[in-house]
Formats: sequence, C-alpha cells, structure tokens
Amino acid sequence: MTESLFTPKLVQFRKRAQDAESLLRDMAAQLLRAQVVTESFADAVVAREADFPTGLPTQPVAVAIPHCAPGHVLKPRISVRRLEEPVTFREMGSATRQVEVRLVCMLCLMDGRSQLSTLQRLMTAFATPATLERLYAAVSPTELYRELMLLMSPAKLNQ
Amino acid sequence: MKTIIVACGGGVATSQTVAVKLQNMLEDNGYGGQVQIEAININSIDTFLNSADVYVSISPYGEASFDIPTFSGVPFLTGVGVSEEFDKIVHALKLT
Repeated sequence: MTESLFTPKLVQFRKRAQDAESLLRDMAAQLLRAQVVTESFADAVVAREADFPTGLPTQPVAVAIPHCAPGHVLKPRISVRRLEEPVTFREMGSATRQVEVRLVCMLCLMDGRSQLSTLQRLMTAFATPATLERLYAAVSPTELYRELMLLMSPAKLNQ
Repeated sequence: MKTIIVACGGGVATSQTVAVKLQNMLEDNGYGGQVQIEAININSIDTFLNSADVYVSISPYGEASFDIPTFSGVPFLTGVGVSEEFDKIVHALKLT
C-alpha cells in the first residue's frame, strides 16, 4: 500500500502570510523538520517560483502549486496552507500577471509519473469550482485534510 | 501523426498533468489516434521545435514567439477557458 501524499500535520490554516516567499520558506522549514525535503529545498523552491511561477487563476479562489526539481525531495508529500487573506503569486505561464492566492499546495514529488494520478485528481479538483469551493470552505485543518483524502480515494475514480 | 509538445520548467509535474488532460480531451473528441503528446523540459525545447506541430506552454517563455503555433497550457490546469483553448489547438492541428 502506498503512503498517502497528504498527512494531517502538513495541512494547516493561516490567517495571512507576509508574502509568497516567506510563506514558501515557512512551509519548506516544516518540511525540512519533518525530513520530507533536504536543506537545499527552500532555496530551490523559491528560485523556481521566481522563474516558473505557479499561481493559477482558478475559481472561486486562486491556488498555487509551488514545487522544484525532485533532487531536493526525500519523501513524496503535499504540504497545504489555506489562507484567510490572499497572498500575491505570479501567474503560471505569464511574465506579468499576478493572482491573489488563498490555497497553496507545495508539491514535494520525486517523480512526476508515479504521482501522476494524484496530481491529476488535485488539478481536476482545482478546475472544478464547486469542489474547490468545498475544499476552501473547510472549517478546520482536519476537515480540509479529510476532504483531500476523500478526493484521492479510489472510489472517486468513477465520478 | 501530429505532435504536440508541452513544456514547463521542470517536466516533473505540470507538463505531464497538462499532457494527460489534453490527451483525454482529444480521445473524448475522437482524435485519439491522430496526435501524440510529449511532455518536455523547457530547456530541451529547441530540439523538439523542429518536429512538433503545436507547442503548449506553461512557462513564461511561452509568451516569446516560436515558429510553430503556440498555446497556453494553463487552461488545462485551471479549467478556465479550457474549451476555447482546446478548440484553438484542434484547429491549428487541422484535425478531422
């Protein structure tokens, strides 16, 4: 049985963040303590976000999926922050546009292929306003974690 | 067989997700056997530009101009404007 990409400790709520970089570094610091990533991960994910921004203009809230090269990852996990107040990220594929992000999923992947089905489900959820709304409406980190786990469960394959 | 290349910065997550989504939509619309899709790292793009028919970009460099028709992969991740972008790609590939 494969380990889940989501764990309760890595799903957290924040009222606000100072800016995208400090949020990314906060998330990376927790991942380092949890031995999910290497020490080089923090700088790598910040640098990659600067070159290849990951803000997505989804509805009803914008999301971001920061990540970096697999070499900085020890265990495949997704760290999640739900923000009450948005943080500005640059938009994916654009040199100029920005989005006001309220849900950040930091992808710690070792190999895109083996985690592809989880990624697909996550991206489908983000692309479905009713689902994304439900995720964002979670009243506690535990509830959000549960909603994410439900999303990834095999039963969802036929839906 | 037509070729679409999808490129992002790392080739680990986003380009493959877009490639699979695009493949699914092509199959749903009956174009399955006519198109192959390659998810590549943006650094390798020059190698592939000569042999590809369409480039789907999810990096800021997609805003630069290339010789082949270029489209955005972001709608395939967000769902916003995905049908329109898909139609543009199908049109550019001249699929029947």
